[in-house]
Amino acid sequence: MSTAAPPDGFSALYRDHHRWLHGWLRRRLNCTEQAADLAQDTFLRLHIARQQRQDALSLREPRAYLTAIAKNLLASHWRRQEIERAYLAALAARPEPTAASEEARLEILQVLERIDAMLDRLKPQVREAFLLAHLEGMTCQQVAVRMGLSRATIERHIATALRHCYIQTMQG
Amino acid sequence: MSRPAPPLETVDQAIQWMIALHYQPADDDTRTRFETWRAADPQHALAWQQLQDIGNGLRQLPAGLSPQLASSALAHAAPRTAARRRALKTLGGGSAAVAALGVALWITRDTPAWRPLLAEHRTRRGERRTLTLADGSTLHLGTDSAVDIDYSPQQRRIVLRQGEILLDSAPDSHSVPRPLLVATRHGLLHALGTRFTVRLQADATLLHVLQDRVALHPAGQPAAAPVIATAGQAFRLTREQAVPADIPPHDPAAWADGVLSVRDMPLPRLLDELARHYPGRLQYADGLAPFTVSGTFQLDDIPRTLALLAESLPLHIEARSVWWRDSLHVSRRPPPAAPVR
Repeated sequence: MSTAAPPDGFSALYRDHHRWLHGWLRRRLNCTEQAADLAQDTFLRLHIARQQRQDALSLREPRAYLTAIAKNLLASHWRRQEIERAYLAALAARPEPTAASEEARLEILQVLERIDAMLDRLKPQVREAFLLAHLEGMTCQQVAVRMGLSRATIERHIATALRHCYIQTMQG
Repeated sequence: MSRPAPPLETVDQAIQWMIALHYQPADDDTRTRFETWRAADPQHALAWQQLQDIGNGLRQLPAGLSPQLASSALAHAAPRTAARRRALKTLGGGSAAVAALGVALWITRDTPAWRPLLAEHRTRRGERRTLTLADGSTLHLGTDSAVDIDYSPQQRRIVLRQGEILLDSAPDSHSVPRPLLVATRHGLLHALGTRFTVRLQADATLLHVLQDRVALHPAGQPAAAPVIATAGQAFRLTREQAVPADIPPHDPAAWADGVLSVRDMPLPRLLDELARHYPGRLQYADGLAPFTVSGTFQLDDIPRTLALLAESLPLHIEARSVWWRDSLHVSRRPPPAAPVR
């Protein structure tokens, strides 16, 4: 049986840089297992990218590519942790007891992450106004009272948020 | 992928209408003026539709995540720190690093979490929607379906990613009429002035032509001459071939009107169809196959539809609520118990 390395030299890349990347991630995460997971993920993404655009990725500086991907994954990882923390805090503040299966919880966090990514870079005040109106179904007037701002400001915030979401989606 | 893009001024107008209509109580006068605006230009309608879809996409929450909970969690998540974002932007300065960042962003974009937003129009289970496309064609999107609309100067292309559509095509107003195509993973359907339904299944794409003709091109046979389907015919398209299919025992386009119209359909098949339109879970017991049904059934209130069925058939409908999702179970009603002596 032939199990030769793929012609693109991916195995060599993995062999030469995996240990280094794992160390790089471990210093940032303070956790060997998480670092191992993210290192795997980094190589996986690099592998997919190379398959999809075979020519474009000349790897003269493989570590620059790897760290670029890893930094992105790290940022997502930290963001996911923050979203999870906020979700658990919101959950704890609810009056009714709730239980969710692990699977359901993962789905919930994934959806929260998706919305969070969509609203990324909006000012906190704009974000809150939009969430209250769009998700909680408050009128502009109700949001204005809740946030102690004028209705005109709330309308402007919502317009900003909608425009932002539109541009995000259309560029997706 | 190129997308039909209304100018941003139009989008801003649509946003203002959205604020006037969705985020505060609106009177009839406002609604009338809005309808006038929307009808004035297909681009208006398109911008409105796109915004609606984005808004709805953000509200599609899984069971167990109420809008209040989502809002509160998202409002209280600490903002992404500026420092971290800066770290992403300045990766050392060399051009290789910049290129690498491009790659990394591109890869992250392609994660599953993004995918639901990339399909331009989608419906949930039990939901249907009617879209007016830029050329005036009408696209009905069925339950649990997703399409991308890809109109370019060369072609009008609808990519069916999931579920089913009913397309009522309009002649193209372009000086050089562009072909109207429906693409699925099994091949291409070329509309020849027409009304038809397309349903995507795991193994094949099902076409039912209601009016005029549709040319079928299997994806794996690019050189072969297309097969032409005419009104009243049903076809089954796989990557290898297009072959005539049995006419289904129900009106293939009735779902667009919110009903399922069937004749002599085995009960389990009817329940399978209804399940596709039910947001909860619909299951049934063995032993229902001997029953066949004819009639027109409402899709928007499936529990009621089942209750009506149970009036004419010996069925037992059990509503269970699994803590986050409604669940219905259909079985044969047991014969009446023997009277107690």
